[in-house]
This record gives sequence, structure tokens and C-alpha cells, in this order.
Amino acid sequence: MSQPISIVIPTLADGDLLDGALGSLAAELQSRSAGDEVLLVDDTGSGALAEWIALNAPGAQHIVNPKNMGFAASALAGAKAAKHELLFLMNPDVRLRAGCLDFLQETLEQSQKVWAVAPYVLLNGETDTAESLPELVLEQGIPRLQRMALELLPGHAHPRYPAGIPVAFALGGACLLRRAEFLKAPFDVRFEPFYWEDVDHGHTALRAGRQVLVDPRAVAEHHHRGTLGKHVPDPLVRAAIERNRMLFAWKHLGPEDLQANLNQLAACALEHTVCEEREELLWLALALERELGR
Amino acid sequence: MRIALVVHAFPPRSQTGVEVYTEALAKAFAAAGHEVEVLACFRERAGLHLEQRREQRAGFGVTWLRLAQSLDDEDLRRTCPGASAACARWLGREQPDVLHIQHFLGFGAQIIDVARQQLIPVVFSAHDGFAVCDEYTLITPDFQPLDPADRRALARCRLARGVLDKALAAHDGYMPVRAVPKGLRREMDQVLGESSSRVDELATQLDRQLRARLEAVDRADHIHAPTQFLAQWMKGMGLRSEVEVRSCGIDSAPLRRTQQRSDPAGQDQALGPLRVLYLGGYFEHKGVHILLQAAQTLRSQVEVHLRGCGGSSGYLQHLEGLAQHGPVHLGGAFDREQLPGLLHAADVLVLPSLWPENAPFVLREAFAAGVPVLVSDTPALRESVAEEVDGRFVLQGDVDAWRAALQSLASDRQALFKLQQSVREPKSILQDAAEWIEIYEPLIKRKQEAAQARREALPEHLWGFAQSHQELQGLSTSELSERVLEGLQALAEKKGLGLSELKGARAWLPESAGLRERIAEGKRALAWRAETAEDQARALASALARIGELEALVDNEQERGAWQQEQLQDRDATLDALGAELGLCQRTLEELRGQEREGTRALQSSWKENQWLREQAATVAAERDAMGLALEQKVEQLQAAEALLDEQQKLASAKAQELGRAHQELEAQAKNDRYLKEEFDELLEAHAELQGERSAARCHEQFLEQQLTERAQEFADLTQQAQASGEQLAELAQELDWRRTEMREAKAESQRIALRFFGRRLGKRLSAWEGSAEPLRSEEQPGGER
Repeated sequence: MSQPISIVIPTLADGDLLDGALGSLAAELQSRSAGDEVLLVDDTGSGALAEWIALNAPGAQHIVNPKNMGFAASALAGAKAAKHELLFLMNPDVRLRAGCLDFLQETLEQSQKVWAVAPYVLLNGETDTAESLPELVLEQGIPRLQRMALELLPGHAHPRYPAGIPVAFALGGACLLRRAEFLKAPFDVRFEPFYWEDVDHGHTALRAGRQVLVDPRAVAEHHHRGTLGKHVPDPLVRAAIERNRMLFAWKHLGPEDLQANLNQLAACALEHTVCEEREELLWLALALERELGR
Repeated sequence: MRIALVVHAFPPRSQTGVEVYTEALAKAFAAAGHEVEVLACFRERAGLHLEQRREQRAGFGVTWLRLAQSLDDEDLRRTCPGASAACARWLGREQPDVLHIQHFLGFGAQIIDVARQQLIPVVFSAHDGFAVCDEYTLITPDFQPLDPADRRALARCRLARGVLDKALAAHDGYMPVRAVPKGLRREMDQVLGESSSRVDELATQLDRQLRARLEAVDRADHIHAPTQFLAQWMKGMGLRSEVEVRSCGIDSAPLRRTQQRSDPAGQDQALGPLRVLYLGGYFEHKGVHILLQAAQTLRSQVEVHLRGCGGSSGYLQHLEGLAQHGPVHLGGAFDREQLPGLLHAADVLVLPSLWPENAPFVLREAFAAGVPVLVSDTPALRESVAEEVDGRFVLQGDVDAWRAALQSLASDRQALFKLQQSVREPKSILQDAAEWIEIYEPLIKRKQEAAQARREALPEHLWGFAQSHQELQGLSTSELSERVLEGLQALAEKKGLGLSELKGARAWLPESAGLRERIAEGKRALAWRAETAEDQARALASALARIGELEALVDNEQERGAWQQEQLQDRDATLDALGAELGLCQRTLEELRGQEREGTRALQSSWKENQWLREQAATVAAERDAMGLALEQKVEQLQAAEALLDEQQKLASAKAQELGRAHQELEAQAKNDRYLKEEFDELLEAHAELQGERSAARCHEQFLEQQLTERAQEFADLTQQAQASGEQLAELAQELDWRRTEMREAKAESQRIALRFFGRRLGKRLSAWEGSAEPLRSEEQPGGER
């Protein structure tokens, strides 16, 4: 019998997105019949979702943040309130396909070395736009994410990686991990408000010798930025992504790579100055402000 | 406060009103402790398009934007491509708290939206009507009032300028309105005709452009105009926003008179001629020629000093021509430093404009120097000049009125002195700047509040991040760069790494501002060139495709041409044949025409002949009828004679019988009887002869009768056909005559025969037969005759 899973969904006032997410989740939980629980972390800061949850998801736990705290803090709040050992972090814009949770659980439980397992995530449900399978590369000290060059058939294990495909990190919006470990090492708050916290989480685990896997048998759909895009202007989202890319580098790079990184950034800063590329300078300034605590 | 000023031109390249005012305002802001940056464009085809050069002035910076692209097109002269984007980059770099647009000519009204997108409050000062109309002078090329709401009138105006510009090029840029040649007028009439489709098309295009411009102006946070006239006019054109009306200040300190004028009481003659000063452009709409025409007859009373620049060489020549006939000193451009001297040397400043004007800065400069003014009487100028306080008004464009106004001041120096004493001090630029700051502050605060509201609309956990983002966005590019480089150095130190090169770079950056700008310009120019190259590549590809199409077309055309050549040759041959035929036809036609003429003449002649023949025929017919009648009578007579002859024969036979009986009875009278017998034999012989003659005569008569019938028939045919020739008719007539003669001869012959037959023996009896019915009585006594 499967171990029960606590599904934590941090959400803003996104009733329409939750409809899709909870619909697919309910079917999955029903087929599992493992006593799973669903925790909806209401991050509106006002408990605005109470009525909606009572009406549409009466079986879910409603955890209300006293104020809007963001994804990382909400995930932690949900983890703290959860009662099962296995924790599935899920964005409200993610929809699970049948068998997703069982496959993830099977892969996670195959070894204690496995830190987190993510499903094969199809961007907006399109088969040819897979979002998972991330690979981290450094270009002159600047970290960049790219998709692994691997042909995959959604719903099928890769013959070379029957136990799961090792990746750089598990998407924070759809990953299974152990609650106790997550409580000990949650998402780093320096990446608030959003983005790169899951990359940092996975990379930290990898550096500690753990494994982060993607199980292509488990399939989910990510309706990307369905959450943030509605509430935050694009330039701010982009600024957060670019700032956190640099924070990640400064956190994880060794002295040699870090030197290359700083050299490259200094050169870029000069070039951006000359070229009047203000946005790039602004991202860098944001990162330095956070890193130097100014 | 960080203030950005945008203007279409700037000193020292341009020294006219708005530009000088913008410079004075920048200085005043800087003097009040504000950071000021000016963006001004200049037109120069040599050099990189949109190149930017920054220069540091006393207290403020000026960034020059070069507009090097072809400015031939009307629209490009107004809005140069890429200029608003360059302005956006400049705003991004400078991050001002407020943008004050003094004129957007060259940049386009889009810069208002560009600034708003960067959340920068925008103030727009309308110094003329350009915000809502290209024809900012509000007059047509022939100085008629222009209603800019009438787009067709605007379109006609622009088209007329197009025609005029071409024509003026041949006249050194100037042609008196009344001297416009008829040919040019005709061309203009053709272009400007009510039914001209070009007018309609351009009117639609202008309407679209001006509406867009007006809407952009409407989006400014504050709109200002120096006169009610302009404000009301803009509102009338559809501007929805409120327009603040407030006069602009000037830097009056350098212009103040250090020495007071003395009262001229009683010294009118000793003061010499009235010194009249004109300062401004040498443009026809400024009405300088009106002033010179007015001054021509006031040689001893006034002295006109003109200083200015601009204008066409043709107009300048015209002014020089006028200046020769009057007390005029025609001077060129002047430096700002010379302005106080020029004004202090003048008794009165004149502004003889032919356009409505707005709020000329030169008037305020004159007031600052205590110089009264003579100005054209327009509603806008009435807002700047108080009559008999600051100066006097003169009927616009009226040479006589200007002459009278000049003469009046020249002859009444006391009145002039009174005006010089009463001229009001204009607003100072410092006061103006202070008023502007009061306007800027609430706008900036409003923008900050709006930004705050936008930030607060974000999820709460983003506020801190968004605020940092916004604060950093408010830094100028150089500040942002400095902060980043400093931060990187600090980070390197924190991580125990070296970033020593950065120190040098940081030190180098401020010093190498010029170089950086040049690199930036180079990159911009490169991007521009790349865009241009892409455009050109696209154009080339398009052109090549077009060439391909054209080549195919040429091939087709060549084939078609060859075919047409053949056709042409065939046609040529046909044409030659037709030409020959035509020649023949022409000759035939000539002949036919000759024939026609001859025919006409012949017809006329024939008609005449016909008439004559008809007459002749009628005569002949009458004669014929008479002859016929006579013939019938003769025939009847002959028949009667024949009957008589038969009867005579019968009688002769009876006589012979009687004679036989008488012979028997009259044997005695044998001798007489023999004689009678011989006579009788002779008579018988004569009778036989007469019978023969008569038969011949009858035959001849029948022949004649037949001939007559035939000739009559021929004559009838001749008459009916009306074609018988006169000769035939003559012959016929001749023949008729001949026949008549013949008939007369026959008759005569007949008569001769009758006489011969009857003459000797029965002549008397024949005459009696012919004349009476008793011829036999003589014959009953033949012996008596013998």
C-alpha cells in the first residue's frame, strides 16, 4: 500500500486555476486511496479563499497566511502543517495526469539518496514543450539553465535511466520530497519573492551528494506563470529571475568560477553602461543590493 | 529636482525666442539648485543620424541630437524617424523628475508618450500653434488668414507651398505676392482646384496626423501657453485638457538701462531722427518690407536699424532695394551680448508682423530695456502690449498707417518719452523658474503617488522588491552604473577576490564620458545602419524580385515588341499601299471634283440648253403642229383634188363618151373633133404624167410624213431624256429646216408640176380649183383658151 502524501498548494486568489489543479488531483487521489491530504495555503494575506475552498474543496485543509508571504514561505507553512512524511509541492497552475503521484513515490522511495523527484512536466500540456529535465551550465561564470538533450516519451521510463533521470533540480511547482528534510532545509529566503529558489534547493542537495530525479512516467502539465503573470508585471518578474540568477551564482560558485563570474559581470556592467542597457544594470544592482544587504 | 528640457533648437546654433528662453530657464533652474539637462536637436546631413553629444554648460548639461536623415519630406521636417526613440534613451539615461517640452519640432509629439511610459511627468509649453497645426503662422502663402480646422485649406496651403518653393528656387527664394506670374498662378489653381484629388488625399492625411498630435499633446500632464489667444485657439482645435495661460520670463538683468533718459521737452529738433529698431528674422511674414516702405518718405525724421538673420536671399535683396531709398541700416545677426547696446540705442522697437504672432520674447526684451514698441495690431500682441503704456498698435500690413505711426513718434518726442517712462518691467526668468517649480512639484508628487499605488497593487511580499526596483529605476544610467561597479568591487572584496581592473575602469568611466558617448553613438549608429542595411537588404531583395519580374516583363515586352515590329512592318506595307491608294483616290477625287465642277458647269449648260431646247421644241412642236395641220390640209386638198380628178376622169370618160357621141354627132366638126381628140390625148398623157407625178409626190409625202413622225419621236425622246445635245438638235433643226426646204421644194415642185400640168392648159382652172369649186366651166370651153 502506498504511503500517504501531503499535497501542499500555495495559492493566491486563483480560484479558476485551482479548479483545474484540484480536478486532476482529486482523480489522482481517488485512484490512490492512500489517505493523502491536500493543504491549500492561502497566501492572499486576507483569507480570501476561505469561501471558495469551503465551496469547491471542502476536503482540503485551509491554511491562511497572516500576510502575503510568497511561494517559499507558503510552502514552508504548508510543510509545517502537513502530517504525512511525503510532501508534494504543487503550484495551482499544475495539473497531474493519472498515476503521477504513484510513480513519483516509487522513484523517491527507491533510495534515501534521492532528495526530490519531479514529474515530466509539459509546458501548457504540450508534448513537445517539456519544461523539466533542466541542466545547469556555466558560461563565463554566469549560470544558465537549459533542457537536457534527451528524447523522452511522456509516461514512459527512459531506457538509459530506468530509475529516473538525474537533473539539476526539481521544479518547485511540482516535486515530491521528504517533509522532514524539507523542514530542515526549506527554500532559501534570499531568493524571495520568486524564481531560482528551487534551483538553489536542488543544487544544494546535489552538492551534498544527494540525487534529484525526473521520472518521465509521471506526467504533469504546467500552465506557466498562470499564477504570477496575473498579479505581477513582466518587467518585475524578469528582474526577479535575473537578480536571482546572480544570487545563485554568488552562493554556489567556487572561488575560481566566482572570479570568472565577477570579471564577466564587471565587463558586462561596463558594456551595459556604454550601451545604455539600463535594465541589465538594474538587475545587477538589485542583486548586489540583496547580496550586500544594502 | 532633476529637470529635463526638450527643445527643437538651442543657442548658440539658434538664437531666436524659444531657444533663448529655454537656455535662460535652464540657467535659472540651475541657479536655484536643480539639476537640469537639455535635449536639443540640430539638423546637419553630414554625420551620423541620431548622434548624441553632451556638453556641460554652466550649471546644466546639453545633449545635442543630430538629425542627419534626409529632410526633404514635409513630414520628416516635423518628425524625424528615430528621434523620439533617441529621446526615450536620453530620458532613460537621465531619469528626470519632470520633462518640460518647449517645442517638439523634429522629435514629434510621441516624446510625450515616451516620457509617460517611463512614468515621467510631462509639461508642454505651446509657444506657437505647432501643437495643433503645421502652419504655425496661421496664414496662407499669400498672407490670407488660415483656419487650421479646415483640413482642405491646410492641404491646399501645403501644396501651394510645394509649388511656390519650386518656383521660388528660381527667384532666390522670394517673389512678391503681387508679382506671381500668371503661369505659376495657373499651376497653383490647377493644384488647388476644388476638385483636386491631391487636396482631398492630403487633407485626410493631415487630419490623421494632426489628430494624433493633438491627442498626444492632450496626454501631457500640464499644458501651458503664454497667451489666451493661443490657448483659446488650441482649445478651439479640439484640445480637451486645460491650458494654463501665463507669460514667460526673460533674463532681464543684462538688459536694464544704466542711464536714465532725459526729458526731451523743447528739444524735438535737436534730438535728431527717431531711432527705430527691428530685431528678428528676415522673413516676409515678419513684415519688414512694410516697415521699410513706410520709412521711405521719412528720411529726415526716422532712422531704421534692422538686425537679424534668416530669410531667403531674394527677400534680402528686396529689403536691400527698399533700404536704398530710405534712412535704413540693414544689419546681420547679432550676439546676445550686443542686445543691450542695440536696445539702449533705440527709441522704439517695431514689430510689423503680417502673421497673428503670439508672445514674442523680443517685446519683453525691449520692455526690460525700457524701450516702447510699435506693433501690428493683433489679438495676441494686445495681450503683451498695453496701449499707450508699453507702446502703440498699428494696422497690420498698412504702409500708410506705419508711416503715420512713425511720423507721430518722430514729431512728438514728449509722447515718446512718456511711453519710455511707462513701459512695464517684464517677468524675470527667476520668477518664471520659481513658478515652474511650483507647477512641477505637484505633478511629480502625483506621479510618485501613482507609482506607490501601483506598487501597493502588487502582492505584499513583492513590495520591498518592487520598491528597490523602482528606486533603482529612478537613477540615471551613470548613477546606476556607478552603483553596480562599486557593488561588484565590494562583493569581490567580501568574497576575498580581486577585481582590481574595476578600480581602473571606475576611475576611467567619468573621465571617458566623451568616449563612452562616442561608443554609444557608434553602437546606436551601427544599430541604425544595421536597421538601414536590413531595410536596404529588404529593399534590394524586393528590388531584385522586382527586377526579375521586370526582366520577365521585358522579355515578354521584347517578344511582344518583335511581334509588334512585324505587325508594324505589315502595317507599314499596308500603309504604303493605302498611301498609294490614297494618292490615287486623292487624284481621282481631284479629277472627280474637276468632273464634278465640269459636270456642274455642263449640267448648268445642259440645263440652259435643255431650257433652250424645250423652248425650241415648243417652237418646233408648234411649227410641226402648224405644218402637220397644213400638211393635213394639203392632204385633204390632195384627196379632194384626187376625188375631183376621179370625178374629172369620170367626167372625162363621160365627156369622151359624149365626145364620141358628139364625134358621131359632130362629124362635121371633124377637125375640131380631132383637135379635141389630140387635146384629149394630150390631156390623157398629162393626166398619166400627173398621175405618175402625183404618185411620186404621194410617196414622197408619205416618206416625209414618216420622217416627220420619226423626227418628232426623236425630238420627244430628246426632250424626255434632256440629254440630247444641241448639235443633234441643231442638226435636227437643220434637218427639219432641210426637210422644210425639201417640203417647200416638194410643194413648189408639186406646184410646178401642177402648174406645168395645169399651167399650160388648165392653169387657170387649177387656180380656180384651188380657189373655187367651179373649175370645170373653163374646161367646158377649152377652145376659148386656145
